[in-house]
Amino acid sequence: MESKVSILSSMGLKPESSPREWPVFASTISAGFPSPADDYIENSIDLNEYLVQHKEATFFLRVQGDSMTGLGILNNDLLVVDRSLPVEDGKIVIAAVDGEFTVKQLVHSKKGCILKAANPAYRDIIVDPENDLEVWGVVRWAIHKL
Amino acid sequence: MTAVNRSIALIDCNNFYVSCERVFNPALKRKPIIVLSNNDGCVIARSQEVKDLGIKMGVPWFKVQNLAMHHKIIVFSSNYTLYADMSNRVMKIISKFAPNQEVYSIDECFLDLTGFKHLGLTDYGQRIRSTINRLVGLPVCIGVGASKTLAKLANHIAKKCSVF
Repeated sequence: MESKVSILSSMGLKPESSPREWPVFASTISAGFPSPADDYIENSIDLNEYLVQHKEATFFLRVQGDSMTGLGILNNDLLVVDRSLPVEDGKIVIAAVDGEFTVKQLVHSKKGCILKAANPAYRDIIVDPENDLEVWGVVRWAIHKL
Repeated sequence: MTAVNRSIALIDCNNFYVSCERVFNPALKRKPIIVLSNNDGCVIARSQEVKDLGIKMGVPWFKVQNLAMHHKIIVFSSNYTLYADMSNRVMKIISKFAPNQEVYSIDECFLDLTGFKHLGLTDYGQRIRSTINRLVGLPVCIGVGASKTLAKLANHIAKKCSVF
């Protein structure tokens, strides 16, 4: 299935939501032998603050489809999209092509603008001038359950 | 306070409810759209395409239903959760441009730009407009005048003349 995105009905962070802080353990997680020095807390983390840099410009979207799995965006992922981020070559963006939202990697090439899929089963979208393309926002985070 | 040389801006969103719906559904661009009041009673927001058809603000829905079907107008029930969220975002963005802001309704506010004249108010206004458009995708109009009334009037002119 082509990766489309739908905007969640409750898109905003609740303005009244108080910061929820969680402890962060100081050492990084090694995938091998566990470190015996892990047993202390360095700091605390507020996930809202960690995931959202620019609250007014941040929107949450839900992914449907598997065309971006190569870049770590899976079916049913929650995307955190920040419209204040500059749209640059190579960024993963939410684009509206001819009135439909899709999540793709934006690549500038000699042929023009390409919306690249990250799954060999899907073809890239080469945007020609007849297409109505609007880059809606830059994807900052993809959240999925392991 | 003396009214001498004050510069008040009135910033409001164009066709606010319709524009909110469009942000989240790009297929609605350039399509005629109506948003209805609670219980779908009256027309409370119209896209420019609908205004051009002569459908008036506040008209009961049953009176224009046939016309709307004939012109394939897309109709929405109002979604105030969405509009309030977008309104909060817009007001927050505007508040960063000047300290003295008065939120006047869900889609408009006054902003005292008296201290910002040296930046050129046309440029400053354009910056406010483009920032709102980039961050939340909503189109706004800005009118500046020596009083709130004149700001409202200037805003009305800005709405009618697309050159601004």
